[in-house]
Amino acid sequence: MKAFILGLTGAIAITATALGAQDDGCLVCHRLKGLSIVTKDNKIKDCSISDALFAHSVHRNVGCTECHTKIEQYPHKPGNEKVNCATKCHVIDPSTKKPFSHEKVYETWKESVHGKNYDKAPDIYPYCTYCHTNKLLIDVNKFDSLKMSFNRCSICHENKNWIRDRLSHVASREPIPIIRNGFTHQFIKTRRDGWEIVELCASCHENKKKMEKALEIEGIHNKYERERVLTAVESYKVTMHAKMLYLDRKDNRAADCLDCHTNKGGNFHDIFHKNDPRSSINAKNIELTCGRSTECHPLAPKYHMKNFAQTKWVHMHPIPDSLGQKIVKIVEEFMFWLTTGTLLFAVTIVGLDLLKNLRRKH
Amino acid sequence: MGLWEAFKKRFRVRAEQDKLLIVDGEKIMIQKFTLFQRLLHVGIFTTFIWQIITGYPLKFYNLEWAKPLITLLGGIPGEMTIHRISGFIMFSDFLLTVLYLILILIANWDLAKKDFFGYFKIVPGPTDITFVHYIKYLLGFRKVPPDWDEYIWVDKFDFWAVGWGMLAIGITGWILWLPEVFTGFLKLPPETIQIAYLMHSDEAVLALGWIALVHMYIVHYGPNKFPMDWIWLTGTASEVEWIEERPRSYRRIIKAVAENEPHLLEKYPFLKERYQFVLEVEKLPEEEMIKKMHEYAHHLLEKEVEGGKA
Repeated sequence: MKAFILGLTGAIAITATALGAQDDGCLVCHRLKGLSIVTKDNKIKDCSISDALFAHSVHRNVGCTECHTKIEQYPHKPGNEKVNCATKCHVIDPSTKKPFSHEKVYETWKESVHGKNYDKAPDIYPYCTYCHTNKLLIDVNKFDSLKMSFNRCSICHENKNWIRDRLSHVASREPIPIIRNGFTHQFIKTRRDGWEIVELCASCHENKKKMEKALEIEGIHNKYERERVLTAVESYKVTMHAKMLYLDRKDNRAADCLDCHTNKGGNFHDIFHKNDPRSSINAKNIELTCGRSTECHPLAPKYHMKNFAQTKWVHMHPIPDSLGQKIVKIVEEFMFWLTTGTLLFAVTIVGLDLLKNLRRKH
Repeated sequence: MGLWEAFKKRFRVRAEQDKLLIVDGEKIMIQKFTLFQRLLHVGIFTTFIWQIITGYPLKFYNLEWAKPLITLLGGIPGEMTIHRISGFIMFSDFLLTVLYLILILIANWDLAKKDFFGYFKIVPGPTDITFVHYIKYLLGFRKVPPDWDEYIWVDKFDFWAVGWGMLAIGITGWILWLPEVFTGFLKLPPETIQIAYLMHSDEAVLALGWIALVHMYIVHYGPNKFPMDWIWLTGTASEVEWIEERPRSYRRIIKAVAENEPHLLEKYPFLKERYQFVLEVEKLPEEEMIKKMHEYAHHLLEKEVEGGKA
């Protein structure tokens, strides 16, 4: 019986490989549903992998051990499953003819606010896998627009499997439908829509405990700086940018976190502290950053609109660390008390008048 | 007639006696608003409704109804287009009102110098002591409502609050619409947009809160007006309403008719009767006078009901 099961799993593994998936034989075990371990904190972790999904994923052509570089033996030790995204894999980059690697992006991340202190506290800083998953490819046959491209490509390229593979790879950068809300998007920066990016960033930045720990590691003790970091998400969510992204998920024109915190023409991982001259929100880059949205604020870099680009309306709550922000704080308080006071007066007067009227009637 | 005379005639404050209308030779009505004034009001309230529909899903974006409403409005581009067009019309209505006031002030400058608060009754002035009387009345320290004039406290509040609202919400709306123009080309400090956003957002709550609670209570769902006061459409109020709600103005109108158009008193005996009543009640102390006027209004109402039955 055991021989039969082994034989069957072996056959499935070979089939998956034949479909294009490179699993290094790991799927023999990991394809078993319910394959789990108990972690150090007594939680059950599911380690099973759907071979069908893996065979249609972005990393289907990469062997498991090419990224899970610490795994060198079978069975491997639990805890050394972490992937190394800077490694070179056997896939040849068609543009350079060199082994493919995410090393350049990894290096940027390593220098960024997310990577520079990662080794000090890997539990609070996001590694590549926190944001990136092994996404599924888009099935080109399901979308008419892509099917048309498929037919065109096959005029010159004979290998239809290769065309499908390439087209799926490229199309995976584009959510379907291509035309959103009347605005034609080219390849978008990420497969997540704007609000999903906000939610992803908020999953850490809204976590006060995590952020306080990060502030300690960064050595940020200034109360205003701390307040700015701790209220960043809450303060962004009340802005027009956030509301546009949340209310109309089809319309991605408004700026999400990445639009402002990464550089135009950068690799979307170059997130630095605003005092770092490499930062997209550094005073010398801010106009260009606002102007990266060609549909909304293209004039900012063109006419040197520093006042426009430096406005704090991207994070609404005033942090009173300058005269301007103190004035904003006063206006905010004034408007709050004016509104509250007037409405309380309104409720009181209407209530009293109604009572008087009712008594008068009877 | 010269241009100045024509202009003066067009924008002259209406004489008190001109506010009295005699309908079918037997009924008195008071005209409060002219057609132009009513159109200004229609312009404000229709655009206000659109501003609420298109603005509130943004203000309360995380409530359940916000997303479906935005979808219904054509997504963010649709919502923004309606909000901006409607805002533009609303602001134009406001500017037209300001222009109208300026022209009225110019055309009546001679009267303004003589008795400013007497002719420009919408301006808060000495007669607003009635608001103190009103509070006293509500709290039980006074037996009858105040001796209200043509514009009661809430009329004045609503009118001038729209002025404040247009500054707080209208100008900030322009800034939010064209942030590059205000901070980029006009070089206003970066905080301008932040202040504009906070004010626009809070003023929207203030405006809707006030309109929904007070204005709508006074003109729609209050026990005396339900389902609504049709004065916004007709511009006129019934005599009974006017005696009860604005007794001081009623007395002044009747006296003005008697003094300036005495032939009407001869023609319409019921007008003479009103004039004599006014002269009599004015001799009484204030609270007693109001009480008598209310009784008179009820008497007229009963007569009207009886007449209707017959």
